[in-house]
Amino acid sequence: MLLELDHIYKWVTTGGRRTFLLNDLSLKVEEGEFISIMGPSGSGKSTLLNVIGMLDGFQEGEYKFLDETIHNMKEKHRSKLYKEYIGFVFQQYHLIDELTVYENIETPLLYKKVKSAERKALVGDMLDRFNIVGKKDLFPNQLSGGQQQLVGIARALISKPKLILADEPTGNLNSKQSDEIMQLFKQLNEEDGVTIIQATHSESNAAYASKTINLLDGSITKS
Amino acid sequence: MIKNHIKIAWRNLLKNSTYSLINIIGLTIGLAACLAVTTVVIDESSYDSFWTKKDQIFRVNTINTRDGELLEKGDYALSGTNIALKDFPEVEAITTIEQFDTNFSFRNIQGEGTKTKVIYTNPSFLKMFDIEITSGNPENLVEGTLNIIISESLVKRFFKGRNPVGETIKDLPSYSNEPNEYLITGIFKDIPENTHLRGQVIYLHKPRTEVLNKQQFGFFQTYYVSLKNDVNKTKFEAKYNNWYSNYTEAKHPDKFELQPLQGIYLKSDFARNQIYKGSTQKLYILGAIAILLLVIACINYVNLTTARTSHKMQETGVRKVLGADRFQLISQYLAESGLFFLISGILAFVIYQLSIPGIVSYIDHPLALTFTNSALLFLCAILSIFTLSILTGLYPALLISRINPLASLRKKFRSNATGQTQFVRKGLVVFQFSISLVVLIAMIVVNQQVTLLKSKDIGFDASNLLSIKYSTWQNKGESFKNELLKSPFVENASISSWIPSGGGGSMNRRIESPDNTGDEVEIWYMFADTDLAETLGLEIEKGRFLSDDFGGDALPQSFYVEMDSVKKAELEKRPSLITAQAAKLLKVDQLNVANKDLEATPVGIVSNFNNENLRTSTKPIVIQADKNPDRGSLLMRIKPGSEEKVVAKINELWQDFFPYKLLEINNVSDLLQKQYEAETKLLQFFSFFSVLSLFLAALGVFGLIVQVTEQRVKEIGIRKVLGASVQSIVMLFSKDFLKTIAVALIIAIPIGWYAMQEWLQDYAHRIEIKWWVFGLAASVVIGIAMLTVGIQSAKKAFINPAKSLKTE
Repeated sequence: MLLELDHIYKWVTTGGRRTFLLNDLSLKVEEGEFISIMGPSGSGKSTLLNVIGMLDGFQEGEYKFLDETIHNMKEKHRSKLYKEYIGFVFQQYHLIDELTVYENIETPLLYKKVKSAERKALVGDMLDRFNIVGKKDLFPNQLSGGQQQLVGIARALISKPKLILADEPTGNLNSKQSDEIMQLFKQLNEEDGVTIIQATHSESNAAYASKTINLLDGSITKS
Repeated sequence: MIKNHIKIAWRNLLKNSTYSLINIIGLTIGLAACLAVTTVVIDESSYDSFWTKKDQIFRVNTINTRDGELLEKGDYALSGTNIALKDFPEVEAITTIEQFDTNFSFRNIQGEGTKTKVIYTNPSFLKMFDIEITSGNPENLVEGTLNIIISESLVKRFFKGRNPVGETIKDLPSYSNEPNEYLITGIFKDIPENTHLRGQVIYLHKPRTEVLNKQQFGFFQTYYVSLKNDVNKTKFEAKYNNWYSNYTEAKHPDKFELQPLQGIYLKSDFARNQIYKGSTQKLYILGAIAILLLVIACINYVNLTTARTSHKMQETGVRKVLGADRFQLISQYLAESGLFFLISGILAFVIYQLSIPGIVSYIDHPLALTFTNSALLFLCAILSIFTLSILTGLYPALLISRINPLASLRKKFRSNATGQTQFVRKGLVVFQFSISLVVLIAMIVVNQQVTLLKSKDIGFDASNLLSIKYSTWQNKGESFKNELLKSPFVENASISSWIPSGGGGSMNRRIESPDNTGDEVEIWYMFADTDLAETLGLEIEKGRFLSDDFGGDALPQSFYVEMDSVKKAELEKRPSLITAQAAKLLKVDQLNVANKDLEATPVGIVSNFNNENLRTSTKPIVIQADKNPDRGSLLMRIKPGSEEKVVAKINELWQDFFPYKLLEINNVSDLLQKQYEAETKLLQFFSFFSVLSLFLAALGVFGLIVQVTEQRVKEIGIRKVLGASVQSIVMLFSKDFLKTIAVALIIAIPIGWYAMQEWLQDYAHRIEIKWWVFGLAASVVIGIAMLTVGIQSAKKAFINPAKSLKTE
């Protein structure tokens, strides 16, 4: 078992009334799964991903990641955990504008204090694998959206995470680019055994996954 | 990691060039100015710290008190004090020091002289002050001639490798008629410049050996005493004072104070004989301004960097998600500030090095220590700049690294955190403007005061008044003067022992006030020939001027010889002029009546005039005449515009009368202005720094408004679509800054007012600080800020909203 959410509740209070973002949500994810989370805007897709990614907290329930209980863990320990095991891919790519493709991919390794020679090798492999060696010295604004997202994924993968969390990874891309990214995800999942959870609006993207979860008003609806 | 940090910092710097440029300019100016001012502060406080026995040597100051109240403190003691002190076992050595300039003809060319700083002292000075003699044996005085030792640099300059010991040189006398001959008995290693005892020539003489006068009467000399190593100075002071009060028979025995050698330069406002002195007050002002400028520059950095938080927040969020911990983020932002300080620091050092000649000419003497000639100071500066970069970078770094990654990725960074930042930032701007305002107010007030000092009516017309420096006239004074008066351009002339700027008068005397209040009135006496009052251009209010036409007006020189009680009684009959103020204070309502206290018979009352300078109040004065006075300056009233012709005439006459003697002609108004050199320099200083601080503050405002308008470009677009005019948008931004400046005004005005009020207390004649001073300062600051804000916000307001709204 990679992670397990058990009766998670998350809410915000506005004007004395609670609005539930996650409502009694339970979910088990095995290693090697490829899961799509679908649902209309505001159904809680991003919130769920953020909770899983430990970027956000929740009020009630229990969250276990690799059999460790997350919710009463110290911030420092938690961030160590997600640095180690989780990679993020964003809809807006969130590449650092001031850094080149190469440096963007390298950054997580710097934070993990990987030695220079090893960093070089790892980044080199990644560039090779994604076929972007020729673009390594370009800055994000010199790339197309699809290429940027490619870099974003390469960056997420560089620290060899067990889990990739992708929040609408193709939301800003056209359908051709979108298919390419999905192919890549599938390949990663099947060949490298990386667990992927993506949030998406698109049925066709969701179809790449081995399992789809439908979300409505913070709860999983049976399908 | 570090390499990566620096690389990113460098790219950021290039990318945001406006922001970077503002930061670098601001920091460079702040650092350079701070280095420059600190140099002066270090130099001033390093005075006399190099002497071997600096902790054992003291100057003997005399304190004159009446019933516990300080009347006067002087850097001198009665002649004979040396003999008295020598008997105390605590005393190791004692010497007398006098400083003056002499024109020496080192090359022995007739009529040529080089102005040289002279220390006139006893041979014991050499041991006491550990003067390094590199040649000769000057401690044994050669009888029958004047002994001097000269500095190595003079030897190098004038004797080209030759050892001049044993040679005789002449001077170009300004006092005696014939040149004096001096025997060079030694060479000494140059004394560093940072001492109040500057000297290129040490002129050695035997100590005077008279016994201390019991009536507290006699010559005064400046004594320096070195105590034995283990002697407690305070205890010895008490011991000596105790001994003296038993010894003297004077009604009001003087007290003595031992002033530590190291404090003499800075703490000697009272010392009339001391030529080279600084002032602690000036030092504080300098130090404060150096720190304030640096603070302003650093505030700019902090403000501009925190204003950019919104730009940074997305990047920071991403970095956090990618696994950066807080320390790594902080160190990255510190690397950024480090880079800014590095670049600015290098530039500042270049500017500093280039400005050293300017500093030297401002303080008017070479610098012994600078940040570039002392490795230690250089290191200190580098370390300080480094520390400063961390301190300055820390707040923005902490602020940015605190951001919650989730919120920042969603660009929702506008909650509590910014409220606090806004407050801090506004606080800093307020602080910055308060400083600028205080400096500006100070500048305006000093300017007004200097103008007052230079233009106030002092009771006589100083323009078209020339003087020949104090000299001896060898009985030829009268005829020289008469020859001069033959020139149609010379209206009047007088040989006088006092001229304007030459102290308060020839002597002063304290007389009991006729009010019977027990108060004493300080009266100044001036001795001259009969023409002083008319040459000065004083007006006669009652009676008559002194004149040679009246036989008894001028006393012959011989009168003073062998003074006895009969002659003393005669003095009371001496016809004298008194000023209106003296007449009023002493209740003189009848002329030609002998006044016993005054030792004078007033024959005329003249208009008041200021005898010293405008720092002191106008004093009551008595003018008395000597016949054909042998010593004194020659004061001349000339026709307007005839200065050149008169100077030529004087030169011509001087050649005839005193061919071997130095002639020094001065414009009296120049001499008077010179007294206010310190104030003029202070004014220059304040002007320079108020411009700098205003510039820096404006730079800060510029940076802020650039950031603010960039952040709110969408808001501006929306407002324009909704029908806002350019003016209303400019007003929107200006209002915010106006409020900030208003707060700064509220803080700065009382501080400025109080500080300048304190400064003005030093002047008997001072301006009143009027409300418009603050109005002017406020309008300058508001004007500059509004101009900066207005232009920048108008620029943004003119952008087509279709464009600005499209960007997101």
